[in-house]
Amino acid sequence: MRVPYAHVGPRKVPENLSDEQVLFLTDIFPTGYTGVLWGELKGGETVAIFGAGPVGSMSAKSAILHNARKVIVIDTQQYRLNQIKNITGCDTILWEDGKDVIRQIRDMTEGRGADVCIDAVGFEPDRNLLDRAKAVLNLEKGSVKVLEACMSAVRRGGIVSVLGVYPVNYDNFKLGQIFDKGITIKAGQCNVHAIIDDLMDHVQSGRVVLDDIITHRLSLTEVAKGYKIFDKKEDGCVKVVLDPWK
Amino acid sequence: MKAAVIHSPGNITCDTVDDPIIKDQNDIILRVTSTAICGSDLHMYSGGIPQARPMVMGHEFMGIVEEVGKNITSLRVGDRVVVPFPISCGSCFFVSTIFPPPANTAIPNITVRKEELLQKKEERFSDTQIFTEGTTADRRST
Repeated sequence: MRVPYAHVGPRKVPENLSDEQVLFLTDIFPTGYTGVLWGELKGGETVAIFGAGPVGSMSAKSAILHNARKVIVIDTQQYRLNQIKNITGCDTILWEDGKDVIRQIRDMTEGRGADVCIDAVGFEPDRNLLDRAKAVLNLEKGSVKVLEACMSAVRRGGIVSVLGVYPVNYDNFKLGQIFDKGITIKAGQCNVHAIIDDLMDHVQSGRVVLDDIITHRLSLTEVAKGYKIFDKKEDGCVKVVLDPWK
Repeated sequence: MKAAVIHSPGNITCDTVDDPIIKDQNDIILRVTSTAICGSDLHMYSGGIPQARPMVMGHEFMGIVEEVGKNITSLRVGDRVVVPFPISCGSCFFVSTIFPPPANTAIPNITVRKEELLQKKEERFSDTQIFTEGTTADRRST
């Protein structure tokens, strides 16, 4: 593979660390960590993370590194919630249609809502028929339902970090709610270069372990299977690592 | 080399594509030892972020340096490296004012020929497209 601007990006890896220990420094750990940095934690906060996939899991680890008092992870898949709960001891909420996730988060935060909400899902969450009908009616792609849930679940004056991808625009966006609650929203791709060296230190010192979310190790020749099980959430899949030489 | 190529939504195959070569003296060629599928890759897989033509997938990768461009002084053949997924030029307005440059590597002062400037401009544009940034194999979508 050709890597352009190689004077800027690549970081040497200490010999005592395996590939799997550092591979997620490329993207998902810095990305999950950035959601917590944007939340400006001082210690003692409640952080609600929507999405128990690879990035949400990394945000949960990062919130604990930043001394969050309570970390709540929300997902539609119980097996993914079980994994992150086993790894971090966080609280979890299963997102089911018709079930009031927001009320549960408020119940866990003395009615206020979470100090920080992190959207680690983006514009293609699991969608029901109603979500799909709404998208057609509004001539929109995907759904902003997770971002809207973040804005409802965050406390007044709280911060919403948007890590999940939103590549298009949405009308009917709840700007009124953002104004009413005084919410700060930070969004975008992670500036990996600015933090990767600090994060490498975290890994080397053992303050954080990254490879415990890997559920599948496949050969590059099995890439089609890897995408399928990751996309369809089959076989307990959370994170697929591929070995080009197997 | 082997590469995971998306041909259309839901259709990814492990193909043989042209081996990469140094195109710019700031390039390196990496022998990838480990890579991973990212949730953001699934937006191409679903068709949510459509691709105009086949593209080599993947932006979480690490490996061993096989070849270095002439300007690269911070890396040697045989070094084992992990690569941040955003490919950053390291010198533009945004990098120098908003994002600090990496502390451990000096930015070399490079004289660029005019014809290379055009290529660089195109490259920077494609590198800012969402999720084509790590696609440094020769077949790309933009």
